[in-house]
Formats: sequence, structure tokens, C-alpha cells
Amino acid sequence: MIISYTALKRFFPGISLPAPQELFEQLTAMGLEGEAIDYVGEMLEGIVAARIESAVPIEGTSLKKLIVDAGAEMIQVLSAEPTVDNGDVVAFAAPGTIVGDLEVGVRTMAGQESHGMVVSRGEAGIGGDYSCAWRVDLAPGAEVSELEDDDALLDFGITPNRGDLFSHLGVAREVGILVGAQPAIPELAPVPEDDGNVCVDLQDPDCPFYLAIELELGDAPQGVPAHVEQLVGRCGMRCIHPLVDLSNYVMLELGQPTHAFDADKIKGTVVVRRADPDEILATLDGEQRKMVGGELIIADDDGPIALAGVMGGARTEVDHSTRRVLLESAFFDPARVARGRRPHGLSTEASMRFERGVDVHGAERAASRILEILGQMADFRVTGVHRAGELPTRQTVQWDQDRAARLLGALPPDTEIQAWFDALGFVESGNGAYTVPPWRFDMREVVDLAEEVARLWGYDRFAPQLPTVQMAVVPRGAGQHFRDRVLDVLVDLGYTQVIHYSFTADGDERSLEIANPMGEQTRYLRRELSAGLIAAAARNHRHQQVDLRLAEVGRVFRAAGTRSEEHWRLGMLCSGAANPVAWQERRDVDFYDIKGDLENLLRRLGIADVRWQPQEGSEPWHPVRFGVFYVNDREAGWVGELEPAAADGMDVKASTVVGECRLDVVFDECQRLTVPVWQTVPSHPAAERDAAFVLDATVTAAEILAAVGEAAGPNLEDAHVFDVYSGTGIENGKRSVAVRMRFRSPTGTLSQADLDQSLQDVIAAVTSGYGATLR
Amino acid sequence: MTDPGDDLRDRASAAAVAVDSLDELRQARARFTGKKGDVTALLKQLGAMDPEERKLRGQEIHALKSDIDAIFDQRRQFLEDQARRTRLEAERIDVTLPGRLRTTGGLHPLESTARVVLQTLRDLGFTVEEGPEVEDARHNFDSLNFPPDHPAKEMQDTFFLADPFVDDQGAPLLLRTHTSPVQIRAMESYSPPLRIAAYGKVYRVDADVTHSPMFHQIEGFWVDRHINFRHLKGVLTELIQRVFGQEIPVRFRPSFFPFTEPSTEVDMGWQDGWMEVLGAGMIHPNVLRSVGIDPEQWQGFAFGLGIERFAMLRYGIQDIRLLYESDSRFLAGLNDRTVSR
Repeated sequence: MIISYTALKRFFPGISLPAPQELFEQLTAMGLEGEAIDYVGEMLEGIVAARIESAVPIEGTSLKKLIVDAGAEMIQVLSAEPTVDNGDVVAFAAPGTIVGDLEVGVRTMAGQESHGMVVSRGEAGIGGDYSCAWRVDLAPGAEVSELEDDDALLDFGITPNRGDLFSHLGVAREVGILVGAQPAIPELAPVPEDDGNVCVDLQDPDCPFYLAIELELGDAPQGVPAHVEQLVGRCGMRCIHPLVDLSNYVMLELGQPTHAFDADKIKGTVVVRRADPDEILATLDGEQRKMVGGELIIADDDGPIALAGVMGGARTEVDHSTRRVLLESAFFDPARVARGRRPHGLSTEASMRFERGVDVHGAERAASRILEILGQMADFRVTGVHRAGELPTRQTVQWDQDRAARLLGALPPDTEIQAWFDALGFVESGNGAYTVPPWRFDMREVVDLAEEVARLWGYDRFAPQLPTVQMAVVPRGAGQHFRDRVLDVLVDLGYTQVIHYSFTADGDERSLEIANPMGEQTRYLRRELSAGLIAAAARNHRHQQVDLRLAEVGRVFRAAGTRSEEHWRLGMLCSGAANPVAWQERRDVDFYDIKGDLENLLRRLGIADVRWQPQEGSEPWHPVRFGVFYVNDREAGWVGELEPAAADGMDVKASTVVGECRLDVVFDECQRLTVPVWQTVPSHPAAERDAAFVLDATVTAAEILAAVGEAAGPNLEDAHVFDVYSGTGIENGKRSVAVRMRFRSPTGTLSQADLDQSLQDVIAAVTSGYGATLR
Repeated sequence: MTDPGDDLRDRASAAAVAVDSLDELRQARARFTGKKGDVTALLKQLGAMDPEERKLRGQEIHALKSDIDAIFDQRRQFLEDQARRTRLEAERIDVTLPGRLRTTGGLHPLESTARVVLQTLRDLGFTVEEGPEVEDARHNFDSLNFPPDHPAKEMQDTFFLADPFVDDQGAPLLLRTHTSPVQIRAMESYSPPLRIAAYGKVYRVDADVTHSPMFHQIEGFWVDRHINFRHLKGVLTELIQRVFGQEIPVRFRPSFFPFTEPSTEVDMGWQDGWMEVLGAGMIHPNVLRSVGIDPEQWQGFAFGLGIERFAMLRYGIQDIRLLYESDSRFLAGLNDRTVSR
């Protein structure tokens, strides 16, 4: 909301207000969030008077070529304004001047150069016509700011609870508390009594009060008074039609939106009612709007003529031939206005105010104000008045000093509090109850009053204090702590943490779909992390960043019927060199790099039982370099290498391996860990035996070790693969797998014969089970 | 008469020094103490002497032999040392070449920032809780005192899920627009007094240089019998100064949120001006009522802050989008070692 300092001052005759900057800061401390101050003098800086020495139309265009005397020199400038002519003195901006938000430059139009621009008041941002050149009564070269007041435009962000601040009167009430004076509202002649000449059929309780005034204009108003045009323009609205501009002015001044219908275009009786589905309203913005049903509308015999509190209809719009006007000044229920505009995606100056709450008692005052100013603009007479409905009763709110003191931790003296309540317009109705001023919609209970006290006393008056607390044991958030540990291990393993969007363009029947996406990239929620990691790798590869270790911990989402399930995941990606130090022998990453890192992670978390199983990799994964793993027999994730051709298709330029781990499964298993129990260290020596088997390459190490474990007897302490070989000397399609076994007995040293027997049993089992031969 | 022993000693010394290899040394030594060596020859002469002289000469010759042994042992030791030295020299390494490194990993700047905040909150006794990112309207809006049609709801443009994903009332599920639903979930699960923080992703329909459709928030709230507005100021001042520096000025401005009353926005001094860093307030009685907590008995404050904003200030990042692009150069440059892991 832009507030004109000049307009604000009119509410305080004889009182000097703080300077604009000071006022801006004091109001910010009261809860109006100060966003910017613009000074009219600065806005006009560099704009000077220029006398037109010659004006020649450029044939075939609507342009005129002007030679202007801007004081120091003669300048050629083009103008599209039809009325400028020899001898006119106009506002002129030379190249380099800032007009509105734009810097004026040298432009070429119709083959002619224009060194600057002829400026309208609207373009200068100080309120007024946009299309008409600003005539000034000044010597060429003089700054036009001489003609204007020293107004400052204060832009405030208004929070949604304070609809009352969307007017100069509302802000003046706050200023009044600062300077210790009530704002002076001009004395207005009351609107005449109801006369039965006009009738509004009020059918809906969401419009409790509707004041309709019918006017007959003697002649068409040619314009609005200068201060009206000025305020409307300075508050960022365009002038449209004198009646509309006047309505806007009163809204900016007093906060009450009003609407002027052309009474001659209304058919039959005016009704305030809910819209039926599929009724059509052509609104003033040129749109045909089909009602969803339930919107509060103003209608006549032919259908809707306005969306109540939002926008008027084109059919009853005032124009320059309008002679009879129906002026509406009403109160519409905030929620009903919101519900009326939302399906149509409309937000207007009027709806913004009604939705947040407009002074329930302001309708009469606004109408009086309009009639008063209209009297300065045109001859008119009131031909009908009807007040339909009743003003809603005013609410009360209960003050409780003890409760407020407990909430705020401190309170100013009671006399000060009472003075503020008074200044805010609260009227005590006994026993600490106060009648809420009709312009406040955010006063329901003691905490609301407490906030008023706190903000008027000043938040900075409350000394910060750390609480005194009773000691309590607080459990640490286990999930967050677990994920911190996972990330810490990964960082230690050389991974850079990345964070990607939860959105994806690709989904399937198990994906959660967004109803209102911001384009394709946000259509679904991700079901896995790998796509984001691969895309990140491709982006890095494009910048020659090839050696990567990336890890993401985040949630994935999937449908479970009509519900959503979310799970924590770890995603890992390695690409390029496994050991990216240039002078050492370079090795590309492969499956075992991520597998090793995952095993490292799981061991550090205390998970020992991890089983791996090959699985056919499907696009984009390498078909035979893909595997899934199980933690305590629960599926916990997978690792795969990107198939080179698929990688190429995704702009991935180096060997790339990706893995995902279900952190919720691992977390679960970690929760089951128990404290280790002390055991004696073995007292008898161990003995090792090796066996190398040649067998089909598709037989996995896990299968061989399982067979070894079963056959080797109770004394086997450990068995692991220590060499894998294929190539010269080994038949195609086969490989040699060498297993080292360690035996130990708890009761004594194992004899040579026992060891030989165990080895024979192992060899027999693997050769018969998998068709292996000894190498 | 000169002692023949002295002559032999001098010759042995000369012979030992004259050779450069262990082989030659062995040969030279044999010439003195070997079977046919000069010293051996002297020993052989002893047999012909009378016992008195034999004893005397015998001692002299043994002394001579041990002296010569020492000469050659010393030389051998020297040559052996020299040979080992030569052998080792061939194994010289360049200690300035890089060690066998793993890649240096690092936390994401958002994670680093969140950890600083969460650690401060833990130090203040807050527990970290979590809630779902796909929420229902009750937890995201209704229980937080958003009236059904109030414009406050439009301060946050919400992503809704498409059919058929609905809540118990048949209303569409949504992506949480703030971490405040965790407040509601925590208060539904536990009884006051409560001191809880939550960290996570939130979503709004918004995208430009400083806004992202997905971003991160930390939420905190404290409910007890006596927790008041001055405590809110105390705790939040402590939090901001611990994250950004003890000297940073902090300002509290009146503001509005549906779920707090009074509400405040908190600014900190930044580059000659003020920068808004978080929103807070005393928890609205309606929020407490919605979860069955009696607002006459219990009160407290809640606050929420955007980790992106904190991280952008902490690291001087200008464009929010960089945070999600995973450019390894960007991330390597913001590897924040001041954050304890």
C-alpha cells in the first residue's frame, strides 16, 4: 500500500508530523512493514521545461518531429501526442534521465532520431494522465519539480490481518497514536434518507448492508479535481473515467470500495444473491466469466451485473454518455468475497480490501464523500436512496491484564494501556470488555489485545531473557542423528553431498502426481534418487568435472492406494577415476567402488549381515553389472554400472556407477543392534588351507563360499576369495576362483589329518555341486 | 730393532683402506690372517721356541692378530654400510608428490548451515522431530489457525497432489508449505512441556533468483507454563548471534502469522541495513486448542526460518538455484570446515 505523505498530512491540520523517513521507521516498528520511500522531488529529477519551437508531423505515422528549447540547447525529439504544438511548454526528459522505472535513451523511429522524451504526469509517476503531455508554466530549462509539492510516497507491506491499513485514514489512525492526536475526518453532509425511489433486493446474509444511491447527472463530468487525480496516480492506479477515479480516490482515502453502475443499463430490480452455476458475467476486464455457483453477485432481471466486492460487469459500465448512476456502497463478508473471486483467479483493489475486512460503518461515510467531491465536478441530483439490510453488531473482546503479563513477560503501566485502547478506537463496555472498532477484524481474544499493547509499547522494550527451566532429560531425535552419521561416513569416504529437487518429469502408476505443477519438471514426486544423480553427473561432465563422488540423502515418494508413502534413501554416484591423483596409475571406477563404500558404511553402522545377489540390469543399467543387496534378508538397495551406450545418451561422459540404499530399512536394523558381549580370545592356533576351483563364470563367489561353509565342518572360522582369474590357461566362459579357509578348534590344535579331511570335503562339495575342477 | 708386528699392522691398515669391495677385503685379509697369511706364519714359528719365549711371543702375536682383525672388521663394517646406503639410495622417493588420497568429500552448504542451527537448538535443549513432506490440509493449515478462506492461505501458494491422493476428509493431499505441521504432530503425540525442533524440505509454487519451489526450513517451538515473549526474544537472539556472530544486532518487528499472536519478524543487521531472517510469535491459543492443550494452562513460542536464506547470507550466495545444481566446483568451494561433524 502506497501512502502519500501529503495526503496523510491532511488528516492532521496544525500538527507537524515526523519527517517521512522517521515516520516510515516508526510505523515499521508498529507493524507496517516499510518497503520503500520515493520522493516526488527525486522522481522528477532531470525533467525540465522545454518550449516547442517547431512541430512537424512525420508523414505516414502518428508521430510529430519536435524541435524543443530545453534551456541550454535545441533538441530534436519525437512525440506521439497529437495535441503538442508550437509554443507549448512541456515537461521534457533528456537521454539518461530516469522516468518512472526507465532510463530515457536516444531512439530512432520512422528514420528520425529522438533525443529524449516528452513526459506526461502519469509517466513521471506523480499522478495524472498518461497520454497527454504535461504542460508546465516555466521558463525553458527550469526543473519541473518546482511546480510540485515535496510529497513522499511511503510503500508499506500490509499483513493480511490489517485490512484497515489499506487506506490513508487507516494509516492516519496509527500515525495519530504516534503523535497523540486523532486524525481529523472531514465534516460531511449525510446521505439523504431513504425515499423509496430505488430498491435493492438483498437476499443474502453475506451482504448485511447495501447502500444504493441513484444520481442524475446534469452534464458529463469532464475530470476529477487535481488532488484526486494526483492521489490516484501516486498510489499506482490509472485514471479511467471520472466516476471510477472518484470511487478509487475515496477507497484510497477512506478504505471503502464503492461501485458506480450506469443506471440506464440496469434491467429491472437490483438483487444481491448467490450466483447459480453457469450464469455468465462479462466483467470489466473483458473476460466472460462462467459462475461456479455460490459467488455473491449483484444481478438485475437479465442476470449478473457485478461479482460482489470484486469487479463490476461490462454491461452496466459507466461511460462518457452516462447520465444516471447507481452508486453502491456496501459491506460484503470477507470470506464470501474470497470464495467469489478465487475460482475466477481474480484479485482487485476492492477484493483485496473486502477480503481483509472493510470498516463495517464506513459505507455511509464513503458515499457522502463521493457526493461531496462529485459536487465539485458536475451538476447532479440524488434521485433515490435505499439502505438495504442492517449494520452487523459490533463484537467485544475481553482484556485480562494478568494473562497478558504472563504471555508477554512484562507490561507497561495500565494508564498507558488504557490510552492506547482509547486511541485505537476500543470502547470499554464494563468488566474489562471492550467493543472492537468496526474497522478491526483481528480482535477476538486477549492475545490479540496483548499484541496491540506489545507493538504500541514497542517490541524493543521487552528485554530478551533466557527461560529458567526445570531440568528434563530430552531424547535426541534418533532419525536425524542417524542420517547425520550416514552423511558423515560418506563425507569421510570422499563423497560430496548434493541436494536435488523432489520433483521429476517422469512418473508411472506408482508415482504421486502434482495437480498444479510449475511445468513438466515438477509433474511428479521422485520415486528414486538415481535420475537426479545421473543428471548432476552429466552437468558436471559438461564442465570437464569428470571424477565425481556424489551422495544424496533424501526422501522418495510412492503411492499406496490413495495415500502417500515416503521413505528415506541414500543415493551414491561415482564417475571417472577411482583414484584421481594424476601421477599414480589411473583406474576407472567400477561396481566394486560403490559396493565397497556401501559395505564400509554398513559396517560402521554396525550392520554385518549383508548379502548380495546379481540381477539383470535393465535400461540404462549394464545388464550383467547390476546387483541388489539384503540386510538381514530385507532388501536394502542396489548398485549398478551405467551401460555405456545409455550413458552416452544421457550425456554422461565417463564410466559411472550408481547405488541406492534404503535408509529406513538400515535404520530399522540399526535399532535392533545389541550391546556386544565379552568373549575369550581363541587359545589354540589356526591353520589355513587354500583351494583354487575352475568353474563356470556365472557361478558366484557367494555360491562357492556357501558350499564351502556347508562342507568344511564346524572348525571353519573364515573363508574368503583371495584370487579370481580368467584368461590364458582357463577355458573360455570359465574362471578360476581361489578360496582361503581358516580352521580353528576351540578345544585343541587341529591335526594334519583333520585339516586334510576338511579340505577334501570342501573340494568334493564344490566339484560335485558346481562341476568345478581343481586348478 | 723395529718390531715386525708394527710393520704388519701398518701394512694391514694400508691394505684394508686400499680395497673398495667386500670381496677384495676378504682376499686382503687372507693375506694376513688366512692359512697362508703373514700372521699365521708367525704363529707357526712359535713351535720352535722355548716355552718362556713362546709364551711371550705368543701373547704378542695374538695381540697383533686381534688388532689386524679389528682393522679389517672396521673396514668391512664401513664397506657394508656403504653398500646398503647405495642400495637404499636407489629407493629414494619424492615426499612432495601427493599422498594416496581419497577424494575429499564435503557436506552441502545447506546441510552445514542446518547443522549449525540445529546444534545451537540442541544445546538449548531442543529435541529434533520430523514429519512427512506430503501432508494433509488439517496439519498444514487448519490446525494452525488458517481460516478456510482467509487470504493468509494465499501467502503460500501450495502444490496439491492430483487425484486420487486425498486425506480422511477427501481433500487433496499437499506438499507441506512449511515445517509447522511438525508442531501439530508433535503436540498430538506428546504432552507439554515441549521443546522441539524440526528440519526438512518444504514446497511452494514459486521460482526466481531467491525463491525455489523446494526449500528447507527449521522450525522450533517451546511450550511450558510460563514461556513468554521475552523468552522468545532471548532464545532467538541467542540463536541468531550464535550462527552469525555475537555482535550482530537483532531487531524484532510486529508482523502477522495465523498461528502466532503476537507475531514478529526478526531482522538482523546486515550491510548497513536490516535483513529479515526469521518469523516467530507466541503460539496462538487456537493452535493449542486444536491439539487439545489448554491455552489457559500452557503457552509458548514458535519460530521458523529458511535455511536457504541463512546459507545465502552465511556464504554470500547470490542465486538460490546454484544450491540444487550440484556443480562440483561450487560445492567444493563451499566445503565448510568450521562446522563440526
